[in-house]
Amino acid sequence: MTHSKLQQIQQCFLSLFIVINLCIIILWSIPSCTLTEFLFAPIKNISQFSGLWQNFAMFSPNPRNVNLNYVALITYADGSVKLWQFPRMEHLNIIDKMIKERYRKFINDHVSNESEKMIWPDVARHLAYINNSNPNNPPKVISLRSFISEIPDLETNNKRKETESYTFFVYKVMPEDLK
Amino acid sequence: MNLNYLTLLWNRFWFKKQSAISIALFRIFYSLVLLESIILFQPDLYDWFGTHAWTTIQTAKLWENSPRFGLFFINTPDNFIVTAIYSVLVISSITLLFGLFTRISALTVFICLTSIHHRNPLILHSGDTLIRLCSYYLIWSQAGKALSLDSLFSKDKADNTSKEKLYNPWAQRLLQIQICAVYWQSFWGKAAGLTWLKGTAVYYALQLEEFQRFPLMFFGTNPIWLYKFLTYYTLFIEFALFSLIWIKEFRYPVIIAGIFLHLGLDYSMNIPLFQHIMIASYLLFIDPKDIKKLFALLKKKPKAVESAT
Repeated sequence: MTHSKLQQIQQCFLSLFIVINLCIIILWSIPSCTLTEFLFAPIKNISQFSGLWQNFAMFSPNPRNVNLNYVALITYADGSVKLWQFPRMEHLNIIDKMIKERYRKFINDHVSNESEKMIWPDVARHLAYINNSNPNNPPKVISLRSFISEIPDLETNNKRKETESYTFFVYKVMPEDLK
Repeated sequence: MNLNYLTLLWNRFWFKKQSAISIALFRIFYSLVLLESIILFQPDLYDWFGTHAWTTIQTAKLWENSPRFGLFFINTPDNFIVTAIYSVLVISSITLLFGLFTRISALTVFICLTSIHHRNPLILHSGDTLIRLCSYYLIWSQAGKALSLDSLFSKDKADNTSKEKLYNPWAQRLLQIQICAVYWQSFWGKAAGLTWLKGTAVYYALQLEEFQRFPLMFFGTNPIWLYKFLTYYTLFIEFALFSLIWIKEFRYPVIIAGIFLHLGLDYSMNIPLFQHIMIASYLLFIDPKDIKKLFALLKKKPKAVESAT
């Protein structure tokens, strides 16, 4: 077999590989509809499994128009209550802001999201574990509380509501959570 | 236009050989951003991925309801496995930086990053996703063929020919398309938003306390015209970075505008990694000839200084 023939065959296989990769990029870049979901179903599963999934919708479709703040209330066996503050980016120095940024992502983008409430028990269990310093007075109840403050409208400078606060999850700590 | 012509165009785009200097330079800057990401993970490593992490392995598996690859899923989770995977990631990032066993290093980085990201996908932002994807494309690329220890010890070097060897750029092209896909997704995502169309999106983004980094002195009086300008500038540059960047005459102005956009974001907003990886990715679009010209200029300068003294 000549060198150019071998090169042609090599290019054919490479082209096939390129097309598969292009399909993966396109799949994640176009709006989802019934047709694309049907066409790309096998590729989607493969790309999700292998880590080739992607989503770059930053501040889309709109940036949030509220500031969020989350705290946890830890009630101990003796009835005392401790306030646990999730890292607040605005109160940190420049280095800690970079290190703790993942807390912002985790809390403000996911824990805050009602559709992802499956993670709330995990969060409560972790809080119970890290706040169990005295074996004679273990945490008994974890409450997650949110504070929501609306950003004033740019043109009218009107803030429609005052800061809202509510408890969105209460968890009773089990003995096995503390092991 | 016929099929032969289309095939010719396809082959020219993906397989016309070129110098590996652009992708090699990207490899170096990419590895530095990767190391930055790894360092930022370290202080809370066990809180995110350890035995008593914020999310359990079961939740990570259930999240988005699809099976995902991950070294953490193979065995029962413990902190030793976390340390082991993290250590391998650190070593492979350093070897990738120096271009030692480049492909294997990129593969190892990809496997470790995918495992870490799938263990806790709830803490990832766009920078993490792009860093992971870039490591995948680097596996297939010629990133180790220049500015690397691999190229220093390679047989190609031993051939002793003064002419530079050229390589297939198809993996670099895929990386370029991936970068454009980032801007495409970002642009069309924003195009559906009313605040982006009204020109007020940057105002809301800058009012989010969690993102604020350094003070913005010009914004004290909330100048509407400035917010509108920055909102439309962002949209236009994002559009240009997946379209006009392919036109040779526009490429460098668009890249410079993109650098200003990301430097501005890096100054004003606390979104680590993303701005850095995006700026590094522009190296993929620089003509190898221009990089060589720059290197030659940098080499000449000290000589000129010497002769002057």
